[in-house]
Formats: sequence, C-alpha cells, structure tokens
Amino acid sequence: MALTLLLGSLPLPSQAGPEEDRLAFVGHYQSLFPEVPIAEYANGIYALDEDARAQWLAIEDFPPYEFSIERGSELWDTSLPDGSQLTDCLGTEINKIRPQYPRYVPNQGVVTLELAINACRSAAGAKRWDYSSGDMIDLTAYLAFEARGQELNVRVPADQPGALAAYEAGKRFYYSKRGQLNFACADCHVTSVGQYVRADRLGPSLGHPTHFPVYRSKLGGMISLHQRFFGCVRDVRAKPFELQSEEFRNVEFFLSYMSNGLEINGPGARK
Amino acid sequence: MDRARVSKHVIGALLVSLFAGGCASEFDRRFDEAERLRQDVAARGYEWINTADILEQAQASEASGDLAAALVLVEQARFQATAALLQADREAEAWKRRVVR
Ligand code: HEC
Repeated sequence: MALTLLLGSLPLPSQAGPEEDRLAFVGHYQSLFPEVPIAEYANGIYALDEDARAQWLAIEDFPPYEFSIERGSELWDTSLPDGSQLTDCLGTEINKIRPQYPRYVPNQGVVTLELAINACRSAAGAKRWDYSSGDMIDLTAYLAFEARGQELNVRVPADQPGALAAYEAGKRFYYSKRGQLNFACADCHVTSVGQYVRADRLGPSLGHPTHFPVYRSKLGGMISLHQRFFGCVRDVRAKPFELQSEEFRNVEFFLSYMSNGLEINGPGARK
Repeated sequence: MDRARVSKHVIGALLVSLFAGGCASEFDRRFDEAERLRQDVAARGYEWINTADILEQAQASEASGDLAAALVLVEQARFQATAALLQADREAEAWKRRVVR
C-alpha cells in the first residue's frame, strides 16, 4: 500500500497498467480524428485517407490475396508426416484459432500464431516453416480470413508476471528511438500520424495487427506483420531483428493489446 | 572525385602517418575496439544498420593494402557504435516520456 502510494507520486508513466495504456492510446487517435469511428482503425491508413480508401476499395473488388487464402486452405487440409492434421493440434473451430494469438505462455514467452503453427508441425514430425515462406504466410492468411469478424482479445493475466514483463518490453520497444535516424515507432505512428513521409501517409498503430498478412502491390506479394516491423526498423537505419524474434513478438503483443476489441479483418491489401 | 572522398583520403593519410611504425597492429587494435563497441550495442538491441558492414569493408581494405581507407572505415564504425550506445543510454529513460497518456 505504502509502496503503491509512493510509486503513484513519482513520475513513472511506464507503470500504468495495460488497460489504462489502451484507453489512452485509443483516446489519442480519437481526439486527433473525432469523426473516425474506432472500429474503422482496423483498416489502417484507409480509416483516415479518403482518396487512398477509394483506391483500396477498388482493389478489394478483386482481392489480390485470394490466391494466398486458397493455398492456405489446401495447406490446412494437408496431412502431416505422423498422419495428423494441423486442426488436431491448433483446434477444430477454425474461426477461433487466429484470435487466440498472440498469447503469453509461461516459460515460452509470447506465442504468436506463426510460432504455434511451427510447434504443431514440429510435434507431428514435419519441417518447421521459415517465417518468410509462402507456406507460412498463406496458412496465416487463411486462418485470418476464417477469423474475420472475431475481435482481438489479448490478455495480460495478472497472475502471470512474465506476461506483464513481455507487454512492458514491447511497449518500451515501441516508444524507444533507435537507428541512425533516431526514430521511435511512436514518432511516426502516434505523434505524426496522418502526415506524409514522401508519398506515404503515416497510418495509426491502433489496428496495425488486425489485417495481417497483407498483399503489398509495391512488392507484388504477401508479407507478414513481422516483415513489416522489419521494414520499419530498417527504414530508421537500425539493424532489424529477426522475424519472430523475442523483440518483435513482444511488440506484436503490445500492439495487439492496444487494438483489443477491434475486428480481425485479415488478410489485407496495401500499397 | 567528390569532396567526401578527397577528405576521406586526407584523414586516412593523417591517421596512417600518426600510426606509422606499428601500422598493422594499430589497425588490429582499433578494429578490435570498434568491434567490441559494436557487440556491446548489439547486446543492448541498438545496433545501427550497417556498422558490421563497415567493419567488414575495413578488413577488406586492410587486406588489400589500403590502410588509409581501412582506418577511416574503422573510425566510422567506432563513431556509429559509440553514438548508438549513447542512444541506448538515453532511451533507458527517455522512452517513458513518449508513452501516450
Ligand atoms: C519514419 C517513420 C516510421 C517509423 C519510425 C516506423 N514506421 Fe511503420 N510505417 C511507416 C510508413 C510510412 C508506413 C506505410 C504507411 C502506413 O500504413 O502507416 C508504415 C507501416 C507500418 C505498418 C503497416 C501498416 C498497415 O496497415 O499495413 C506497421 C505494422 C508498422 N509500420 C509498424 C511499425 C513499428 C512496429 C515501428 C517501430 C519499430 C514502425 N512502424 C516505425 C513509417 C514508419
């Protein structure tokens, strides 16, 4: 009690709990763009930019990620070396799989959907997929598609101190400046949201994790959330972390928590 | 030839003349120092994108006999790693002020 009072009187903003953080995070965007309904943030930059949104909606008429979903569905039905299928390991209610991740597991840290898929493959005697492989991305595209309309519901259980530590690590990563350009994720996606960086308009981080993987027309292919993190870290001229590294899993955990309550709407299409 | 390259060579020549005598070992000593700083900053998750590349180039230059260029590159890498360490030190607290409240 005395400790709580003491901490409460000190300037330790990082000590706010996840739910307080989330409300403040949502509130920040709400006060900048009062006309944008919260649910719209699942659409990323298209929540804020009408011209880009019109182009995007036209693209969505013939979704460029459809092929990926189809391949993912085939992979889902493929038997593993021990005769089992992924559904035996990941769950039979297919629309409920994606929404269970990312989640904190004691002694394993943040387990993402990709990590869970590889753990299942490995347990069934199959080779682990590379995290940038088409197979991994297609399967996650399929599971995202099946989960459309479900809400993100990341938990930081109070009885698991490791979960709060992972959340705090992700939060710290997100707000820390790094690289030769000395930028934090928040500098672009919180402070400068809506502004232009060359031809790109900076999108809000609220909703970042809902729509991945995404098809990027610029690259002519699908990318995962961690590949996007990788690109943004590289762009500030810091040495990027590996896909599914602890750093990136923690940021995913933090950002997904910030987006709790938003609908999963992946896979997506982006410039 | 652009100015940057000219001044690079001037600095290189100065460094070479300063350390004339024990050149090869001077390179090794400075290289090791820069590499150690790079590893320190990597362990803290703050390495910049091309510090390791610059050190590799430095080794290649030294191997090809261009000690002047090699020393300039090592100095660049050392500067990067030092600046990144300062960044890591500063961010140990500074990030908290950016948290949305
Ligand atoms: C220098 C500015 C800048 C910084 C710093 C930055 N980004 Fe980005 N980021 C962009 C731009 C520009 C885009 C493309 C437009 C958009 O959707 O925001 C983007 C896109 C993204 C996307 C994809 C959004 C979508 O809807 O498809 C994610 C996720 C993302 N960034 C995460 C991060 C994370 C995590 C960090 C910190 C490691 C970070 N960014 C740092 C500029 C930045």
